[in-house]
Amino acid sequence: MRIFPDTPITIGTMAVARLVGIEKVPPYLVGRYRLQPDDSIEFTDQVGALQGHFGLRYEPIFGTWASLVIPEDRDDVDLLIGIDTRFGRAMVEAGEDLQIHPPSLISETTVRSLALGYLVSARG
Amino acid sequence: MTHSRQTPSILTGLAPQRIGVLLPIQSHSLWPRTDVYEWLVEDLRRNDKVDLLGLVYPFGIVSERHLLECPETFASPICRGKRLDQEAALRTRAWLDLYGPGYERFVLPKYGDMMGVWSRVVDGHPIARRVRLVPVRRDRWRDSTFKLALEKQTR
Repeated sequence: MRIFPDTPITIGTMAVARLVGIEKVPPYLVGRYRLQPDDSIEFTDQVGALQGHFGLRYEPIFGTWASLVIPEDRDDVDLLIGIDTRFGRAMVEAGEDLQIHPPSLISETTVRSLALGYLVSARG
Repeated sequence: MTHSRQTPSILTGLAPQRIGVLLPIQSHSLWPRTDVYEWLVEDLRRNDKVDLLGLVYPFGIVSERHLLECPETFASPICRGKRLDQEAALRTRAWLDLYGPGYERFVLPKYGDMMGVWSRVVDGHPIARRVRLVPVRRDRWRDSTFKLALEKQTR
């Protein structure tokens, strides 16, 4: 079972998130999504208004968080989705016990909800 | 079905002491700090053993603190579907396996978007013996009989 959804995920009317990598950052497993804007000018305006909020963790639900970061090597914005490995393991075991086998542990809806929640929260 | 991964509290030396009250938040007729919610939980808040938790589709069990600090995540309507039912079940079961052993009992209204998922998650699980379902009429939260029944189950 995959941990992170690898299909393109529409984040509101702002951008599409594409999974570009998975990193271990103990105690988390982190999925890195590249945000590809629908409208680059509007996107730059919206993201520019978030200065000061990059790198902060937004964690409204147990075991899973989101963060927006600017990679060191590119002038882009990445969405990070982190899952606590202990919680993730418990979810995998729950899947075995309940005979539930989703395509990925975290759904596209959760990634979208966390990203939009982060953006709304950051805009205040 | 076996559940050997759940560490019996007797082995950890910690008797479960907390009481979790799980309120169905997704209906949006219940939300922390609203009049009806605060009326319903006013006596529960005075009980040091009670943790007020939300049962939210598809995120499972959510703390009251998270609901208050991050309301925007829970504000958008989410369409039900098999995929989200699955995630709701996995998240709820994972939470119960990790944190459930610390709870003497879970009390929840027998109503809400998560009821079907909840039934599947606790069916055959040791925690089912520690669950108390309290009947409530559909979305009639300001009901003294229900409020008293909820409080009674937390004593």
